[in-house]
Order: sequence, then C-alpha cells, then structure tokens
Amino acid sequence: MMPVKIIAVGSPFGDDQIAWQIAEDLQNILQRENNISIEANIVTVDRPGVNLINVWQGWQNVCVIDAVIMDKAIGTVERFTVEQLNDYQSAIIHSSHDFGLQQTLQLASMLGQLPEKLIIYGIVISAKQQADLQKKRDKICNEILKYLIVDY
Amino acid sequence: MKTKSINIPILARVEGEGALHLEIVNNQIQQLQLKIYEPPRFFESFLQGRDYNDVIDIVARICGICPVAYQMSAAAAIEQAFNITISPWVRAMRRAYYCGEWIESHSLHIHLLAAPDFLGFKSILDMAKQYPDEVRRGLRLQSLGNQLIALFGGRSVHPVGACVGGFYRAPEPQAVTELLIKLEQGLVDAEALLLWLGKLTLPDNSQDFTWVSLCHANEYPINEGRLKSNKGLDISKEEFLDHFAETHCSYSTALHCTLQGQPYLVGPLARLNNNYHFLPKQLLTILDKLPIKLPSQNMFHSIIARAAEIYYAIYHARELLTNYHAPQAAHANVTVQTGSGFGCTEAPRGLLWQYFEVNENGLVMKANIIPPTSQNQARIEQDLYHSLQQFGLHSEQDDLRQYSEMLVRNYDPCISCSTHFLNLTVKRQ
Repeated sequence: MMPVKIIAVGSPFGDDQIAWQIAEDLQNILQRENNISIEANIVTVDRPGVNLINVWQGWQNVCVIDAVIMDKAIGTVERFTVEQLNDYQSAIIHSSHDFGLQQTLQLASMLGQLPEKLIIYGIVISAKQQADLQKKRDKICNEILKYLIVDY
Repeated sequence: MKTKSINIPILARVEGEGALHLEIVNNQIQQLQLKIYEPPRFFESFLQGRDYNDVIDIVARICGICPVAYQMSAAAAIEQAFNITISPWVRAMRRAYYCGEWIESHSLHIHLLAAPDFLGFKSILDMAKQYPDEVRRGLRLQSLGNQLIALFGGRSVHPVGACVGGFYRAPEPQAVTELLIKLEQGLVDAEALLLWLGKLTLPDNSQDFTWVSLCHANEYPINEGRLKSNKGLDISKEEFLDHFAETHCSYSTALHCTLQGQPYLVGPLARLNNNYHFLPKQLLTILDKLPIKLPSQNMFHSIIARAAEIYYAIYHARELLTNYHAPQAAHANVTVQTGSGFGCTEAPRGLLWQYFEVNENGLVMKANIIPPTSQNQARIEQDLYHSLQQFGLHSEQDDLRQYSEMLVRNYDPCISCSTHFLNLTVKRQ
C-alpha cells in the first residue's frame, strides 16, 4: 500500500460540499478501522484553481475527489485517469474562475508537475436533487474506499 | 454613412462575465458600452439585520480573490462605529495579512490573465509550453500569497481568522518562522519577475486621466490614509460621498462610480503613481532598470505596477514578521454601541470603501459597499474610447476585439465583485 494524498475539492455549502463530506467520512473510517491499510493524508480545498498544483507538491500518489455534472444518476462515482479526463471537451476559459480541474491538470502536465499517479473520483451531483445525494453518502464513501484499496 | 458594429459577447480572461458593444459611424465611435450582465448579488441587503461579528465572514464571501480587502474595510468601519482602537500588533499584522492578498491576486492576474496578451498567447496553457519556468515562478508567488493569508485567516479562500478588533488567534511563532524563509525566497522570484516584465514590449497608450488612491504620511498605503488624486483631491474616507457618486447605467447591472461626475482610475498603477517614494530603495533600484517612469500615464504599465507591489508586499511582510511575537490578546475588546463608521482600504484592484450603521444590539442597520471595479468602469470606457481610436477603428473585427480585451484586462476588473465580463458587439456604419 502506497501513501496517498487525498484532495477533496468543494465548498462548505450546497451540493458542491459532497467531496468534503466524503473526505470527513473517509477520515473517520480510516481512524476507526484498523484492518484497512490505506496510508492517507486527507485535505479539503475550496476552489483551488491552479493552486491545486501546490497542494499535491511532494506527493507521488494523489487522488482528487470532486463533484461532477454528467448525464448519469446522481451519487454515481466515476473514476478518471488524467488521460481519460483530457478526452472530455474542455470548457472555454473565460476567467480564472473558470480555470477548473481539467485546465489545472493540463497546466500541471505542461509544467511537469503532475504526480506519478493521479486518479480522479468524480461524484455526480445535481443542484435539484441535493437531498437524494445526501441519502447516498454512505454508498458513495464505500465505493470510493473500494477504488482507493484497488488503486493504491 | 458607414456604420460598423462590433460585439465582444464574452470578455475572456477577466474575473466574472461581461460584454462590450461598439458602434462606429464614419470611423468615429458613436456608442461604447461596457456591459456587465451578471446579476446583482445584494450583499448590502444580506448584511442588514446581521450581527456585527457575522459581517467579517459574510463580506469575505463577496470575492474568492480579494476576501481580505472586504474583511479589512468592514472591520475598520465597525471599529469606528464602536470607537475601538486596535493595538499596534493588530495594525502591523493586518498589513502583513493584506500583503498576502496583494501577492496572491497580482500573481494570478499577471500570469493567468495578462501576460499571455503581451506574449501573443491565447491562454496560460499556451504560454506554459514556451515559458514553463516563468509560469512555475508565478505559481510559487501565488502560493506564497495564499500561505500568508492562511497564516492569519486559517485558509486562503474566504479566510475566517479575522474579526472586529483584530484576529481570533495569533499565528504560532514556528509557523511565522517557516514562512519567513519562504518570503526570503519569494523576494528573489519577485525581482526576477520584474526584470522579466521589463523585457516585454508594452504598447504606449499614454493619456491624461485622473487617478485616486489612499495616501499615508509615513508608508505605502494599505489599510489607512487620505484619498488623493493627481488633480488636487485630498479628502478623508468620511468625505467620500461628498465627492464620489454611484449611478446606474441602463446597459449594465453594475453601478458606475464617478468623481465629481468624471471617470477615474483606482488600483496598482494609481497607488504606485501616488506613493512610489515610499517603496524600499532596493525596489526603486530595480524599477530604475525598467522602461517605466513614475508617475506613469500608460495604462499598460499596470502589469509592472502589480509586479512592483508583489515585491513590496513580500519585502514588507518580511519586515513585519521579523522578530514576531504572539501578543497576549490577538484582538481588542469590543463594546457594542450604536454608531456608524467608514472603512476604506486598498484592495488589490484599488479603493474599497464601506459604510456601516450598527444599532445598540450590534445589528447592522445599513451597509454600503463600493468596490474598485465599479469605480474603474467609467475609466475603462474612457480608455477604450481613446485607445481604440488610436489603434484604428478600421481594423479587423478580431483585432479590435483582442485589443479591447487587452485594454480591459489591464484593469483586472473583478466583475464578480462589482456584480460581476467580454462579449464584444461592434456596429459599423
């Protein structure tokens, strides 16, 4: 098992808080369950933009948990490698506010500052179905935990 | 009659969303409208009825780039309302905290938004291929600013450490010692950034305009001072509304603030023009090597002004944090009383003026917030009128759009703050 930096991207309110909540749940599980051998350093970040590159600096194994909007059921966990994420059409960058995860990964790649291993777990959200998302919190956490055990 | 109409439907690489409409008749600009179409966010109304202590955290939410500025102007206003005198330690540490925001915001603007213009790239992603070391340096500087904010604020985005009277807690000496080492390294990066920018070919669009900034008797202004212009204005923050007025334009959701009905500039170039004599000797020596003579009337020198302020902020924060000690109390005691107060500080983008009325229970009865971008809007339109004529209105639509965006970006408008940027539409006749 390799030490992994887990970066949960979100904010304290609304449907975008799901990654932070999952980070908290993961932290509790890893502290409680001795039989899960994941050596993790978990941090929560609020709209980091390009600063994400600084957050993972010094770490070889990194996972990013972020909310995503996709044409899939809310609460679905989608696993992406950097290459897979790059296949999605980039949004046009109108402002630094729009400098999202995908653009940050592209910039990190150009600067040679991507971690050796980087996996992104995207949690499908919908602003209209926030309550439904909360009901799936345990399921989402367990699914990400399973991915973590396999990936790291 | 020949009419040309140019629309820039979305202004790229600025904070927030806006558009520009140009109507050109017989090679003269007939109409020029900088349209801010993001909806107003009614923060002043949210604040009414709230406890004074909530204000500092709520106003931090106005902007993800300059939350410290909103906090510091609000704190100053409420402290005036309650007749609170802050300690010398709080005063010094607030300057250090604010320096973090200047470093972070200016680094972001120079590298992510402005530099690609002067180097002929569409975005930082293209620029990073050819200038990876410079982009890495920019990210290091931005991170340094964020760390300085987090030292006092607990986190860099929407920090929570500031309160009326000072800070909830003083930073640990060990954390300050560690940051001092990084500030030392940051000074090397800031000098390299200035020398690199000095090699860029910046267009000359020098013009006569009014600039306004805080001015302090003994220091480069951040949190305090009188409002002074290059055309004789010299007033206190309490006299602001006697000279400045906000008006609503039908084509924009953001208010336009003018000085006696005329446009004016706020921001780094205004500050530098008014206060460069307070910069440390080392920085003045570096500036002497660059193609800029202060005071400057060339708006394209704004990028150099930002870099100069990055250097200053790192230098000054280092100065303030050397021999740091944690005080017994990180904030002054607060006694709630009915009152009103004014706050006016220098946000990265310029003057940020606030006014609060608080009742005997400490609840906000009235709030008025005038951010830098609403102050710069009329000035941006004035600059576009002048500079586009100089550029040549017969130019191709794409060239006009690119040049317009470049001009607007010089002001680093934070539309999210002012309500909130460029779609260009041009109609030619």
